[in-house]
Amino acid sequence: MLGPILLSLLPLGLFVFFLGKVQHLPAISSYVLDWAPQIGLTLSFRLDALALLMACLISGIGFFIFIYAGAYLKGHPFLKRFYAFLTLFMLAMLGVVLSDNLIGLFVCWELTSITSYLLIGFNHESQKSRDSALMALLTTGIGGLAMLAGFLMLGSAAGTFEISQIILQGGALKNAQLYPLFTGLILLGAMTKSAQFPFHYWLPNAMAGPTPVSAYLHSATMVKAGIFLMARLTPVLGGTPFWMNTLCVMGALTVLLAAWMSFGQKDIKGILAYTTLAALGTLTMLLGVGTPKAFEAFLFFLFAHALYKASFFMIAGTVDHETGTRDLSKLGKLAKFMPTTAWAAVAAGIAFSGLPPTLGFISKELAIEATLHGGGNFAMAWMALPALFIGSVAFVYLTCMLVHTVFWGDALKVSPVDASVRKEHIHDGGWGFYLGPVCLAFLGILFGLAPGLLSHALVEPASEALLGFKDSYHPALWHGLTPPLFITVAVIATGLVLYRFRESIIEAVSKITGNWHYGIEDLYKKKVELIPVLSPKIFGFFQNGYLRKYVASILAFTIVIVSWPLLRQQDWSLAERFWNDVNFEEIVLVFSLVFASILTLLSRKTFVALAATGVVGLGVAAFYVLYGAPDLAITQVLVEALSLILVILVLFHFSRVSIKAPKSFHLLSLGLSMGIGLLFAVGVLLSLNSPYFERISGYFSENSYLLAKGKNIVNVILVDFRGWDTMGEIVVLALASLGVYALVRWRREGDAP
Amino acid sequence: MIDSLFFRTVGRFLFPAIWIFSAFLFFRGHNAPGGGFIAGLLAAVSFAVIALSAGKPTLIRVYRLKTFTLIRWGLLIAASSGFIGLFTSNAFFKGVWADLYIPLLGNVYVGTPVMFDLGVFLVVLGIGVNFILLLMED
Repeated sequence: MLGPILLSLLPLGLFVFFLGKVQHLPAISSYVLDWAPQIGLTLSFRLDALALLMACLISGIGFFIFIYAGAYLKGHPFLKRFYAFLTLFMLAMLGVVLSDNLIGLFVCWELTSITSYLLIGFNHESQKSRDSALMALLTTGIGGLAMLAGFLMLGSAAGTFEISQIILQGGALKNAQLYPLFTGLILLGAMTKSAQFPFHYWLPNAMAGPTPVSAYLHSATMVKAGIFLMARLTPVLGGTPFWMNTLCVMGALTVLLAAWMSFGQKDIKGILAYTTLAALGTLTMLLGVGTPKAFEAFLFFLFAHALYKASFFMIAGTVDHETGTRDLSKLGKLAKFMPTTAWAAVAAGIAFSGLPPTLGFISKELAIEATLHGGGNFAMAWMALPALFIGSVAFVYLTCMLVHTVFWGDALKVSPVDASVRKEHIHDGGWGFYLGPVCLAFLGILFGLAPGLLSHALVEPASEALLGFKDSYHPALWHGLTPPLFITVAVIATGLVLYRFRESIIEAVSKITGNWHYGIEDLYKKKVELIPVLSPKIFGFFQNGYLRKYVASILAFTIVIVSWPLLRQQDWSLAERFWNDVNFEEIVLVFSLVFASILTLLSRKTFVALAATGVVGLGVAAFYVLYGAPDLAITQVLVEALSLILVILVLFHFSRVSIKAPKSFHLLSLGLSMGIGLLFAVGVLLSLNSPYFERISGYFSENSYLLAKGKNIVNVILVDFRGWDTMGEIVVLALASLGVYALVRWRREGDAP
Repeated sequence: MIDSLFFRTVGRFLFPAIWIFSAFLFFRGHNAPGGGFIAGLLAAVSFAVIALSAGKPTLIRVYRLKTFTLIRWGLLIAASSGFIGLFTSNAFFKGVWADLYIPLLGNVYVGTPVMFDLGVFLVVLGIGVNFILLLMED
């Protein structure tokens, strides 16, 4: 337990740092670092109120998740790997909310997709876990790519990729010609990430990951990234009918679908997953309504949901860990075995079902009020209010299920009936199990009793980021006998009545739509299965397994694409100096190169041909020496030596194998080789005409010692001026060697095609 | 492998000699022809000499490391050298130099490009030895 405690100091430290920033709030701190300034990429971070609200949730809940995971996965052989993934995931998520550059945000966004893939598929030996992880990655990844296209269009329309500067331009971008296109693409990214209908299917499957991961993914991170992005861009893109209608309709559909599906669940994690969907739909809907009241409700609900959902997932995990099942038809009367967990569930449940005196109640009242007085758009109110009502009823009903059935009531008698689990060794578990649920649940109640705390510190400043102007909020538990209160009472009553008939509801719902949610999942699966069927048909022509054909197609393509601009060029005169300074060494070298090349072609013995190619390579190196490029010459000689050795090793393998290409192919390769040779010769000769190269080498030779303190220009370019390129190159080299390793090993294990 | 007593004997002495030359090329790289890439290739050649003269078991014994260890460390070192510039000068891959006094050698400039070059060296060496090891299996 010591390791996890030490590791949890990281999120705790970050949390304290962010709290410190909250204190100074109207002041916004920002950090700008150069990433690749040549292409306009900066690493800029901006800690405004909206970002800080998210950052506090991510790091604060992260702290409890770190502790909880230590208890939940105690003794797991890959615990270190788990924490590495989890830490990366948390930092990527913080990057998403704090980044002030669209491209930086996108990079962190994709990092959360990749790390969540690793986390969901953490139990990599289970097929289901791997499939679910891939489903999450593909769905959010495709959305992410659409979002990148949207970002590029938005950035070029705004003339900058810095989010704060784009926001400063205000509503101007809503009149841009491409507005519907880039807004649609960005929304696609946000909605796949936040699992909005019809991309909701990945989220319930993502609970295949370990429970601490689900708790984190569903509460403060991942799915909230999409919601956050929509909120962040509301001042830029929001307020138009297109934006409001899309968000309201998609949000409402998600709420309705999730509420319906959750009625048929008897897996406690499944119930929680569908209620997360409903909550996400509610948040999207509130952003779509777009009034100051709706933003207030949005921010409070975002906060409240993160608190109770994290604690409920952890409670579900503890129950699963202790009893070995998550099935409501097997669980019941657990309160006397695990009292602390049970009371934590009660506290979180009050917030979950929207009862006073919690943050859940306040946010729900605000949401109802916001939709009642919604922006005057009749269609929206017509969609939003019933959806909100049904979603809230589902929350009440499901809270009873999660709290009453599991801890006090009897196991559900629904078919198929299973024997109840044994209850001898069930207990609360260590403090690591209940610290998170208890603290988070009681924070929900604390903020409910004193909503002003949260409102002044975070919600009001954050709503300024959404609205563009300051608005003061006075959230309170008691508003008098207002319509929202009556609606809340109706919600609770309906929920409790439904709970009485829980067993028949589950049976009925799962009978009607037992395989309903597989509809869209099926579509996804069919698409994924199509890939291995279609791709050989499309790419089989190029990737046919014959190395010689690969080389031939690459060369043919090169000839076409390089000769095209060469043929179009007008100036065919050669540089004068070309003919003037041919000297003796060059003539000798040229003749030996030509001789060695012909020998390579004509010799019948492999080793003679190899030696002759070696001579060609060394001859080229000699040219480098003549023209003052000793670095290139050394590299060429060494590469020549090493590749000769490697080719000899390969030939040992294939000494008994004889592969003969057809005669016609020989002719083709002769033609291709001549074409490439000619092309390069002409290209090099013509390039002498261009003065471009002298300018660039002049810059390097002047600045190499001054700026980079090195006298060898080539090396300074490699490691300093063009360090980025070299970094890319060594990464490519490393990946290539990984590929070679896999190919050689794969063949050896004997399941090669 | 090439079964020759002469080659085997010479290979034993060639190995350290090549390494010394490789180190020489690495350090002179900044002001004269040389550098991490070339030094890495040369060091890989030294292992090729062992492979050809003494065979694969000897190569494994001398090399000792796991397949991707060097490549991993090389990438890590090269990338971290970029982060030093990021945190001290607010720009990724910005060269940062320190003037250190080392006894016997006098004042020595040490900078992040040297660290980056070391990463390149390790990656190139690791890839070279990887290929040799993979292709020598049978």
